Amino acid sequence: MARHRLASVAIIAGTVVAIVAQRGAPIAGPPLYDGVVVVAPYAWLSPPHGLHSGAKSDRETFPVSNGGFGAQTQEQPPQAQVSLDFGSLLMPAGTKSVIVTIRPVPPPSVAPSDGIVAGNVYRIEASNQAGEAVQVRPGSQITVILRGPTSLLAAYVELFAGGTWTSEDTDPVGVPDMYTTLVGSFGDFALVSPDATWVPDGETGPPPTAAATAASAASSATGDAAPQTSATATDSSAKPSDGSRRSGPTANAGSAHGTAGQGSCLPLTQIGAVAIGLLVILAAGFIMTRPVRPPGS
Amino acid sequence: MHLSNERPGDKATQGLGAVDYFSAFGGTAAGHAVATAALLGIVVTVRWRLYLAQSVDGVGEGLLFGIALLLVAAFAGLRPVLPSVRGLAAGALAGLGLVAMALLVRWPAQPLPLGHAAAFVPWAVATVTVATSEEMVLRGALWRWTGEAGGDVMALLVTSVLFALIHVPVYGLSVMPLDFGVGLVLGGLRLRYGGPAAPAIAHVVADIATWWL
Repeated sequence: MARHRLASVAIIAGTVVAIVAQRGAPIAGPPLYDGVVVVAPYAWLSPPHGLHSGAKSDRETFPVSNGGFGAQTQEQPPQAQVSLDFGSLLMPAGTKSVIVTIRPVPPPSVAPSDGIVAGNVYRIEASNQAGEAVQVRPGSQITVILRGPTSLLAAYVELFAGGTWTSEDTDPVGVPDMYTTLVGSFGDFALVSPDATWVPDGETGPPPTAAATAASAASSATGDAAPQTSATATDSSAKPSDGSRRSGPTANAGSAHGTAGQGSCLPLTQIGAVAIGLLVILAAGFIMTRPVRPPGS
Repeated sequence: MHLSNERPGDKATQGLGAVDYFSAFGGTAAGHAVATAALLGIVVTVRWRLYLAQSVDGVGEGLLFGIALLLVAAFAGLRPVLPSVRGLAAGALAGLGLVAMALLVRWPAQPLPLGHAAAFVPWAVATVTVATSEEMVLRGALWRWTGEAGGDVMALLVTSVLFALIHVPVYGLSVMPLDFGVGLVLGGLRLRYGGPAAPAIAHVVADIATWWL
């Protein structure tokens, strides 16, 4: 009976703790943060050598209501997402629907002072059916989620506005290289790696030229997934910057990463690590299964 | 029958590979628990490295992680216990309750859209393997030894804390309160129904639900 009572206490206490934790969580994540997530290669607006292009945009229209809504780019998992509700928006009079757009844009000419941009810069905007800008209500916040390239050990979501980068309080989401933050405005967002030597896994050459970046941006802007809206509160230049990502030594070139084209070599290091782990387990099992020798024998 | 009532050294209660475990690790249930936790830590660390490198896809990573955990559970002395129908039903209900709680608490915010880059069947196999194997280790083998060493409360707290800790490398520190709370719920199921089956069912249901969330 005491055990049943303890079980009831544990279930009730655990439920209360879980509710409080969910309520205070920065995002509405999966219930247990524990599913097996399959990740497609990172798609760049202007890919470094050896990596993938094809960064996508999103444009969603939502009739005004009392609920929440969101938009996300079309990769799997999405590389940029925004989640918000109508109560957090400052909408022009007569607004019947809100159009949310997310699109990759060339990085601004100004590099962050506390790291390097890791991945694409995404412009997140909102407008109403007439094309008038919709802003975040003062004091309210929206959720921005960005996914970076492979091997991003740590990163912060930063907002580029007024010619400067601002670091936001950032949490990992639970999906590889994905981070989230709560922000008080729309604008240009990017993940910034505090490691100034960071390079994306699988990169096999120098960074793309300014012309290539501009060409990719132009291609994206004319694509069917690239929306054209007027609502932006940012000051992002279309001029690409070498500061957006340092090429560094090609330390990861030919390294052990084979995620769907992000590298062509066998992941020998990781296979070795797994093999060692399994050997350790087998060895431990062997130790555990040794015959018992009676004391004193 | 509750595993934590079993006596160390009683061969009738030993699981696979647990014949000489006590003498190999100090001859106590506490030593056995520490050794089991250390093995768990090694497997979690290897999985973390795979996760960072993304050298295998998510399904492969999950399967490797799950298989390694099942080996840990087997070698650490997990003794399979036939689950009761009531336990399985309660586990399924608890899993659905966890999902409903997550949705209701955050209403009207939408769940995070993760997208799917794998077919459902291989993803589900990997997810079920991971969830079940975590329960086999934590609320199976480890519960057994911590329960014998320090009682039910000790087993509940240790397994709940470790359940939260093993998710930190991949999901960050912010996940600890939530997973500790969920660990308590799963531990409560373990206490109530006497084996890892009920918490495993709850864990599987909650994880599988993420496909649609």
